[in-house]
Amino acid sequence: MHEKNYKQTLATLEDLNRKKSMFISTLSHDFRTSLTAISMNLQMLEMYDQKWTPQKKETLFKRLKKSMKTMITLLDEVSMLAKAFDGKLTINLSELDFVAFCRDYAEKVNNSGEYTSKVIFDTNVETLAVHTDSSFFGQVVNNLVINAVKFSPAGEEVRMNLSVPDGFYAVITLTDKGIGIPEKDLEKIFEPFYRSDNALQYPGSGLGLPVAQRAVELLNGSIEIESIENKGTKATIKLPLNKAI
Amino acid sequence: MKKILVIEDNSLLLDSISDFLKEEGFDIVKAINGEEGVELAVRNVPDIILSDIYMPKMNGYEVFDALKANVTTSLIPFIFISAKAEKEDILYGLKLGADDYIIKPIDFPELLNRILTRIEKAQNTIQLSEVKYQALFETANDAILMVRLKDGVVIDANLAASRLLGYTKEELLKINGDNIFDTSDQDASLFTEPGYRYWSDFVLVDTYWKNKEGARIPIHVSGKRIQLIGENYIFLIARDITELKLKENAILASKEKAEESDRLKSSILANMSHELRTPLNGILGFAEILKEELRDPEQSSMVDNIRISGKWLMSTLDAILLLSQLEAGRISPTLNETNISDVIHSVMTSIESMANEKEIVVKNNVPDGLVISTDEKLFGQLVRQILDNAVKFTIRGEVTVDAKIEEKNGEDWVSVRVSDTGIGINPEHIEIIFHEFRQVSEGLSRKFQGSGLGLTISKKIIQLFRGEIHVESEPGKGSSFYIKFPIPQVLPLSDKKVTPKITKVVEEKVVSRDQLPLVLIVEDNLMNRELTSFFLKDICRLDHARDGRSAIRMAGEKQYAAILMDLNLGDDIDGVETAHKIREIKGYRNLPIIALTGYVLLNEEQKIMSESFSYYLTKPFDRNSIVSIMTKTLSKE
Repeated sequence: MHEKNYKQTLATLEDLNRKKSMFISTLSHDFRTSLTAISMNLQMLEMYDQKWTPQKKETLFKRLKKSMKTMITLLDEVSMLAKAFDGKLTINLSELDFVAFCRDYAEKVNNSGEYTSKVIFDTNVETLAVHTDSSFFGQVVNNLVINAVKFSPAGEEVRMNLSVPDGFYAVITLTDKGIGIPEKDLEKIFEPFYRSDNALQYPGSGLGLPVAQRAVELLNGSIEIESIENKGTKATIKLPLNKAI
Repeated sequence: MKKILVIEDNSLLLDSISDFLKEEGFDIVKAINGEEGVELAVRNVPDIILSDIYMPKMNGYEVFDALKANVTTSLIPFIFISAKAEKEDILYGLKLGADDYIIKPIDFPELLNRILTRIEKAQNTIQLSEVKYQALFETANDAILMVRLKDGVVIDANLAASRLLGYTKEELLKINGDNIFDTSDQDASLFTEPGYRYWSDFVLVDTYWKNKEGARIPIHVSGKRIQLIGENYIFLIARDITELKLKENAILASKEKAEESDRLKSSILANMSHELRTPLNGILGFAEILKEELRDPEQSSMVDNIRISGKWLMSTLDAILLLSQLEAGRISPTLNETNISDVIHSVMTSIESMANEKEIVVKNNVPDGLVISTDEKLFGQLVRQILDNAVKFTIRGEVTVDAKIEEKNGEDWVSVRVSDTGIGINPEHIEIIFHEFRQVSEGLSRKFQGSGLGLTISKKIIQLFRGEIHVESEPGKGSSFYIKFPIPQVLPLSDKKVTPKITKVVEEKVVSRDQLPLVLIVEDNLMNRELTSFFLKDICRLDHARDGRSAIRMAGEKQYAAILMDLNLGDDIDGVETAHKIREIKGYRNLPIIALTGYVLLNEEQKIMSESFSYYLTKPFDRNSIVSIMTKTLSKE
């Protein structure tokens, strides 16, 4: 019995160690890629400072900003996951109108010009003021919406719906007609850095869903993903309502 | 301007590297993934390729392998650019054969420096290979042509090509490849639609080319299709095989001639046998009749000698015929359940008189009841030839026959051994004893009679049986002949036999001649007609027809009880056709017609015979055979 337990523990530890190494290696690769972009564009700005027009240099500055943003997001997500793992995350409650937030968010994505799909927001609720952590809630909505538009073919709309079916929970669904998730990958998509084969050609770190899941757990809610490969994905976010007085 | 292909799945990095290299004066081709990279490399043939490693679907290593495997891109310098900074990764990349490995983040001056170094090195390599190519191209003794597939234009041609085709190099570079190809040959329509589509990547064919005068030259050509900058070409290396073809044709011609002579020989032998059999029929038949008539013992013994000589001539004739048929491949074994113990026994009985005369003991050690599937006739012949020899070459002592069935390589084999205490064979003569018409003692020193065909026939039969024959012999002590062959597993489908088994000689019945049945004999040879009449004089009355037409006419006028039909009736319609025609006459549909032939019939022919005839007899036939068949036939009436 002892021996068996010991062996099991050892196997678990080895597995964890392997995951940690993978995690660090992937992280370092992703950092290095962003750093490379920053380094190359900085070198060019320096070398061709006299030669290039301001417009041309502007393109390079934009790349710098984008790379920085990617790195910061990556850092935020990693540190959030690390804190969640250690149980060190705390929530700051404040009042937030889910309806207004979602509508504004959809508009922001549609206007960013970064994506080829539009988000169509729809609800039968006028306002829904909730006591929540607006930062975590934002992270959940953000990560799921970005996934939906990112994996959708150009021109296909993403439907975002907010409802309160029973008075206790707010339910936000995101329905897309994107590439979907292969059935064999469905159980792994919440592992950090895990990326399905069909998602590899799209940009991304593989941290979006794990982060969203940690965040939604902190808010006592849940995320459910249904998907058919090549048909589309439906994400359902369920959050308890702690209505303001 | 030098062209660089950059393969990188991160668009930000791809754009950034490209911007820099463009600024430094390079022509840039961008690929956002591995597959696109391979495609663009083949289409553009850049001066150098930079590739990321970590890419979805087709990674950098796979891209590298694909490009090295393609002639068009295999020589292009290749540099990995990767964020994989581990030592193992670098080593792996270089071990694959990459020219360089650069780690991200990239230092631009460093990158530029490495790119320039690699391009320069590659140029040196290309120059060297160009020199090698030129040397090879011009000194080659085979004609080499490079042809553009889209329009068949000759792009390059070497000296040997001018020599082969009779054009100057300048002329060759102006003509279309189709001028060279002999379009009468299907394989040759190679250029321009739709011909070139049949070119696979590599071909090897014998075909014809046309020289400037339009003469056909047989060539052996190998062709390789290559793609360069989106254009298809074919490299052709052609060798003049005129000499080879001439020799080949000469060999083929002499082979055909030899085969023709062989066929002729067989056919002459078969015909001769017919020509010899017909008069022999007369000699033997009349000798038989004469013997019955003669009362003087001295004369009777002389007639006996005529018969014995005639029979001897017959057996030689049979042997020659059998051999000719075996050699012509006209005999195939007809398998039947055969009791080989019985066959061996009956062969032994038939040579008993010869053995008795020489006071040689013939011992039969063959167990009873060995039943196998084989060709009874051929097997009998085989044993007869060997046994005959054994008795012939033994002066005193004994001849012993053993037989058994044994297992060999998972199959059942028959093994027959014939041992004698005869003169034996010298080791150096063992080979020649199986050659036709050969005896170890030849010419004036020939001591033993015989045609020398026996062992050759045995060998041919054993070959038909897929078996083997061998000899162990000691001169002066004796020889042992071993015949071994596998027992065929397939049982025969048909056991129908045409030849009647002749069991008993006639029961004599005394009747007046007028009551005897009337039989028609169709035979063009007068002597045979008379002989047959003589044999049958107590059994039936005979009408004679000299040819097929008279036979048909006569059958129409009278109803005969049976017809005896010679098969070979001179120039007119033959016996088979005559029989067919007679069968159409009312009352003759089921009438017995007996065929008489000078030819020994083969299995196939026997089958055909059985359709038209009730029985057949091979000439020369003796009195017993014909009397027995006719008695049987007529008593059925």
